[in-house]
Amino acid sequence: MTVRAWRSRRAKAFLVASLVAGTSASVPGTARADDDPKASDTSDLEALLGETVVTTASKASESSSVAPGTSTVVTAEDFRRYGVRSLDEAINFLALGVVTSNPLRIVDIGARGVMLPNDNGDHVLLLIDGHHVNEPMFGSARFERGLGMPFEMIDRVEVILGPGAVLYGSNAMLGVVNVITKRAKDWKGVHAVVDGEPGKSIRALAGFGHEFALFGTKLELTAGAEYYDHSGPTMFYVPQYGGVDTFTLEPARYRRFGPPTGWWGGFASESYYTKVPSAYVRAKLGDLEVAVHGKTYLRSAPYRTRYTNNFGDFDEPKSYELDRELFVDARYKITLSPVVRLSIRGYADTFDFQNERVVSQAAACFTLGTSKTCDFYTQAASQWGGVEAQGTFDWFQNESFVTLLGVDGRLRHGGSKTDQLDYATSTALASSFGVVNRDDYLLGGYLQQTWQPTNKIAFNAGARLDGARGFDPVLNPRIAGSVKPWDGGTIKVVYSEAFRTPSMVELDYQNPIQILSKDLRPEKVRSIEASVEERFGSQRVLFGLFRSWWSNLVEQHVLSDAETTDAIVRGELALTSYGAAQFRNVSSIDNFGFNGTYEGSLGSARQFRYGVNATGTVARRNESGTKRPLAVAPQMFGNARVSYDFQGPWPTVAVAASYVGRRPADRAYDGGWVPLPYADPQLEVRATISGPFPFVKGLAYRATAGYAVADTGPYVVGPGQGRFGDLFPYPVLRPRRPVPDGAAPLLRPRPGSGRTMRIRRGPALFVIGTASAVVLGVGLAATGCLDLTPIEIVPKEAGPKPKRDVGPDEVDGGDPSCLACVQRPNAELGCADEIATCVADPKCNLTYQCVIEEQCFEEFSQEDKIRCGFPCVERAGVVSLTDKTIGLILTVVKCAENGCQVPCHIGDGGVAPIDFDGF
Amino acid sequence: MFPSIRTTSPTRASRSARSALATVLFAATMAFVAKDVSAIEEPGVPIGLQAELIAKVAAYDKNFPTRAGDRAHVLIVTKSGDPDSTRAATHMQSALGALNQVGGLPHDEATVPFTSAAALAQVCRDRRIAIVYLTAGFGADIDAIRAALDGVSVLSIAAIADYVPKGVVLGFDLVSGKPKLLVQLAQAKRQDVAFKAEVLKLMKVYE
Repeated sequence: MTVRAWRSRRAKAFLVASLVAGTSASVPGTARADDDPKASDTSDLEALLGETVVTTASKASESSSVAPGTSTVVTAEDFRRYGVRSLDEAINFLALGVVTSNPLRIVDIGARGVMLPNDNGDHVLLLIDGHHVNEPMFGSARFERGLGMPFEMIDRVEVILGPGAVLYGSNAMLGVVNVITKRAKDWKGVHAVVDGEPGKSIRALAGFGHEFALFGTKLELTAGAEYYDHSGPTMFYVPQYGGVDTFTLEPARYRRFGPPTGWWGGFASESYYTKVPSAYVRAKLGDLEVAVHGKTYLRSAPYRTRYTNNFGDFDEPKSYELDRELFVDARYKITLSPVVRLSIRGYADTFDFQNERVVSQAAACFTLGTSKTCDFYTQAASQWGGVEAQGTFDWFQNESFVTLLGVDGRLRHGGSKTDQLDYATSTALASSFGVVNRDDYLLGGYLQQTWQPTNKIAFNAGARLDGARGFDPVLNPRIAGSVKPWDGGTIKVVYSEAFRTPSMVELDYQNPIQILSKDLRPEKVRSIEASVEERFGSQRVLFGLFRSWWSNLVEQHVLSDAETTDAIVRGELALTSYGAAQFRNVSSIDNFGFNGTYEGSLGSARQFRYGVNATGTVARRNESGTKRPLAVAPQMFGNARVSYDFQGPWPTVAVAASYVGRRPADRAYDGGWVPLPYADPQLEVRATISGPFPFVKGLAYRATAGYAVADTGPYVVGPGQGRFGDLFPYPVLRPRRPVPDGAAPLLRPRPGSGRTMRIRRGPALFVIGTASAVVLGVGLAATGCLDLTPIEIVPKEAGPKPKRDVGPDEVDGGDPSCLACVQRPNAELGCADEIATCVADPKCNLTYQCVIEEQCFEEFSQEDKIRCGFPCVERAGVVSLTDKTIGLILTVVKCAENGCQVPCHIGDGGVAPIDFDGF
Repeated sequence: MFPSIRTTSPTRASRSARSALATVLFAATMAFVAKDVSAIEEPGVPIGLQAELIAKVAAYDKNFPTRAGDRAHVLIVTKSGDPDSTRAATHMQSALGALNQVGGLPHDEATVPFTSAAALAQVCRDRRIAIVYLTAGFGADIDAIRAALDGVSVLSIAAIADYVPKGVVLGFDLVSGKPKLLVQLAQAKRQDVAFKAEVLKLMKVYE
């Protein structure tokens, strides 16, 4: 089976234009001229001024060259210069060793050849001003627009490659990304920003920074609110035939309206949108610093993959995902003596997630009595809070021998559920499933010792011990050393380990086709790296080698037939739960490779700047002795940039490029593909011109244009992706043009094909212009679109809910009398009679199913049930109209084809052999 | 036959317990905070890097050789009772001591506690100080120090960026993760400091 889709070649190019208008009261740097004819060589001074200071690697300010890790710092100036508009763009265009892959939903982030699709970013620790963002339910962190930070508030982003658990605990396996916001002195005044992509997106930001005295103490206050709204463009997916619905035996239905056609695909104009209102406030009063962050992140993806809308309708705007997040972080520092400094940090977070999938496939809804469309509504919420206390002991008061000691305790709660609702009536068709309700804790203690015997040699060694409910303590050490053997040169070696505690979902989630995990162990990574760095004047070159070993990776393991049988015998699975899965420690990864960077500037005021980053790796996933390249993860990637600042009122022109090498698609190894589908290499180029508006002090502009070479990505889209599809080899239309090496058919935007979405929330149309900028900011704050009202996870029983508004073109539910006929528990009639009754009703959509109560199989041994039942069952599910009426849904025709004769006991009516051939 | 999928929502009691815990944590934090609201003045640029910058940038002061003679005397000033100041002074003395030259000259460092701006100016004159380095804790004294050093040929340098606009000749700030030199040009003239043009291009200038 091959399922492919892509868009027209015309979609290769897309144009992005941004207009940025801002006001700022900050004082610009001023270059002084001097007529001294003896120009001295300032390269040595420039080399020092080019030294990057990082604070993330060891929780202290230090030069990046001696920091215990390979780091990149991407600055606000870089954002402006190269037209960067989000964190994932900053990573792709400017960072070293880390890359993202965008499935038009939430990006996958990887580093050094390891990228784990749909991991929700839980192998990278994301910090906002040092606050941990990864939540406990999924471990997720958003690196695209969903980061939800007013972008112009960001001062810099520190990207530390490699395991970083030694100070930060779980999640920091690939690295740590710390988003550091501007201080008030660097963001003084009122700021307003408007930018957008014509016909596609609009973003507005308002904020301010101010310093003033409060109770005799300096108060620094920065605040910002941003709203990002994106819809479209229209995408085109080559139609794929989805076969026959095994429930209705009609062509599969992929839309709420119209007749079932069996076809998925076409133009998706309604279902690609994003809306992100966000706000961030940071106040520093003396030694007390408080930060508050809130965001909501509504998104919808215009396609269907393994992880997105995996059985949802095509181009359905009411299928969406929504994150909401709010955190408060307060920290206080005190210097007790020249030797001892203490800090204490308290934090509280809440995060919730909602996912609504509108499904019109009866087989996917798999509950008798549903209307043609059902609605899978998942809610997840987590709250956590804790205290971190830290002591720094500068024994000789010169930072040559410093001990850092800290403890971090955190209480967490998480819950989730999924409800299956009738789309038309919102009636709960089954009791909630996938219910998670977990309280736990994390407790970590860390110790770090730095030693700089001379200014040429530095050592850093430490370890962190983490304990969590249900797990043995995990120790993660790090040891690093650097030496400066010659002027400007640094050689560094780092060994480090990290881990990831399985998320609450991985630990506690179960549903009818997902059994509870058992004995999950934390994932673990060990890494060693060495690098050589040389600075000469304003030039810097770095080359490094690395090797990592990953173990205990937690993945969805699809149970084998034997494992399924065992699970059924143990009562963990229903009889017909064929293809069930379980989270397990499945695989390991070995990777090694190199990364290198060269960057510099020329000109008396560094007008001409340039840089290039490159990473090459060999990464292999090992499962049961089979080693394969990692799906989606590029083994070669990098970026390059060049810019020239014409100074004064003239603009800065810049070009940045991002390259990602060829990589296997996400279903390369489990979709039965021949040959393996690969995504073509991707090269994205972006040109930017930016500068101050002439004659208007404080206003600036920026315009960008981009071009992408490849028109597919590494995600297989379409309905037939899994084992179910494998059992149903159905015809697939030939693509409109051949795709080399199989398909990697995530589609890219069509240029200029954006259409207005029906759903619009938040602010209405904006007028882009300088005059409206400040007014827009005020209006934004007043919209109240940042709704962070907590949700509560309360599992529900099946029952009626308020009726949903159904449009005139949408299909309502089946006829109630028919539903009652089929749903009746303990039916006194045989299946044949039930079916006959329904067949006679032209409104009934469920004419080919038969409900066989559980007791139908009572007289058979478990082995008999499996032997006979499995071949008959093509599609099965839970019928839980009441919790006592649990039955099996068999697709009768398939049974007949297999010649399986299953005698059926119906209710109290005695044994009534059913001749399936009769249907 | 099917696995039981039942759970209960968080009980009211457990929610109350969590709320109580959060309240206690917040109250504890606030109580700790309320004890002392004096601000730590932290150098944005690491002291070690400041020392290296001082050693380099002093050479671009046209009057530095005349002022220093054949040996550069560096005076590090601490604020009594301020542990951050003490630590910064110790660190700066150690970092400069590890460098062979400051401004192209051999050098020595001395650390003195601050008593008054006038006394500081007198020490600079008497001991032919080439560089006076102000550590943390001088926020309230900068105006006086600026006035006292008017007419004294000395390069005053601040560990804290905020001191430069108020009247210290040279300072350091961390801008987007990179060190930035700050210069108070008017005060520089009054203290007989004249940086070369090519270095001024690398600095943020206050006038």
